[in-house]
Amino acid sequence: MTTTTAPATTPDSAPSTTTRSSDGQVAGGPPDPTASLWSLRNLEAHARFATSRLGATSWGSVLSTTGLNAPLQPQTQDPLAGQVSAPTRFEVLQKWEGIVLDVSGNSFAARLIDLIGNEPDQEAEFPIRELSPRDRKRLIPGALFYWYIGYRDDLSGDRDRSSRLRFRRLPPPSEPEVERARQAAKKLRSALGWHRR
Amino acid sequence: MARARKAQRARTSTPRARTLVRASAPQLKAEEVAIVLLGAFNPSIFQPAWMASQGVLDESEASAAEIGIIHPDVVSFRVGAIAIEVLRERFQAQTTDASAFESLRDLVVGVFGRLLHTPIGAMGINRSTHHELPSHAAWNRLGHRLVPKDPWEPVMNRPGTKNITIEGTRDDSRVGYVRAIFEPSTLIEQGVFQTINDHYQFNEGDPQKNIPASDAMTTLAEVWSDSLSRARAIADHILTLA
Repeated sequence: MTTTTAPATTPDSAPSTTTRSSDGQVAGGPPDPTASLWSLRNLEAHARFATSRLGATSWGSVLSTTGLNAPLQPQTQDPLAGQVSAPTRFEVLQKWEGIVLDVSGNSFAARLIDLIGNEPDQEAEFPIRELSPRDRKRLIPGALFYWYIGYRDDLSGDRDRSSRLRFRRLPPPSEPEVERARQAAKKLRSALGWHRR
Repeated sequence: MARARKAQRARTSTPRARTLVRASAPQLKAEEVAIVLLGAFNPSIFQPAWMASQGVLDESEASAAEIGIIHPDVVSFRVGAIAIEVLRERFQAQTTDASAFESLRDLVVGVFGRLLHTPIGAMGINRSTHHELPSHAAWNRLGHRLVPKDPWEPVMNRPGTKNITIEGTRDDSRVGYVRAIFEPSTLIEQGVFQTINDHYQFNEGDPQKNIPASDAMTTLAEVWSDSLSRARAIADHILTLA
């Protein structure tokens, strides 16, 4: 199934102006409720203003009415939204999931699970100063984190190789979650024929 | 002699440089992942302070949040690299920072882990990208291969590809579809924009059959990696046609 419609320059043809409709939908395209952010189209102007300002620091003002491929023109015409600035970007080259095994002195040890390739699990030691002050509070054995290595492109066009550690922000389990886990464990124990002494 | 060696180097280096130019692949210039939930929401709840009180965010993150709007019908704010917007019928969280994709998922799972009974009808996991193609010829070639212009030329003057939407059935046992949208990039010259919308329909289109958020979050956690891998595979495959 193929439909053809909207935006700016076109492969295999001359450049043209955008023809997105005012409600942010691509003219003629099927409305796709979970596809992108068409959502603010019917809201009041102040809501659009606030949101466009919020999105003005990222690519194409992704929080505005038309999504990541939003044409630049309508946004730059909005005196309240400001210029769409060039982004900093992080391109992931390698990614691991980490589990903190031990914390001692100025470092911590972790097991790393390769999430991009098929390398076997590894253990590594990280200096604690690699962590943001916020993440240091989460540094306990068993804590989960992601470790990313990639390129960081800054606003000036420079590229650095960068490492980022992000601890998972999972909220503590609620009482119902604990109870559900307890029941699941009980069921499993029973299925295995284990009994409490 | 030195001049001869220099000339030799020049002769050998030129073809290499040409080869590199020819072989250069499309360059990823921007990437966004969004999680969209459709259902019935109370936007007023979704505020950074509430998230901090529930342990989903730190106090410091919540206090540093950039507030867009707090209104009974719409809430929008940004926490670090993640932007959140909630309407009465729709929740969306998204980021353009590739090192925050997992944080995005955890945030959504954390929020709805506290709102277990919120009715959810559908979920989209969407990856959008802008790629710059190595040449104008490659950019045109991709448009022609995806939509050959021969059938249009008798009735249109210089037909060009503006937007292509392709929908496929799911290759897993879940209800929904995978939709790929292809457009010329509005941000990058000789660039292409692609969105892969991985759509999960929970309620057969009937709001009475919405499922609790706890079940939707189970699905999100289960499908997350495969969904993003599928989206990458589709986008990368299309780019090989250039």
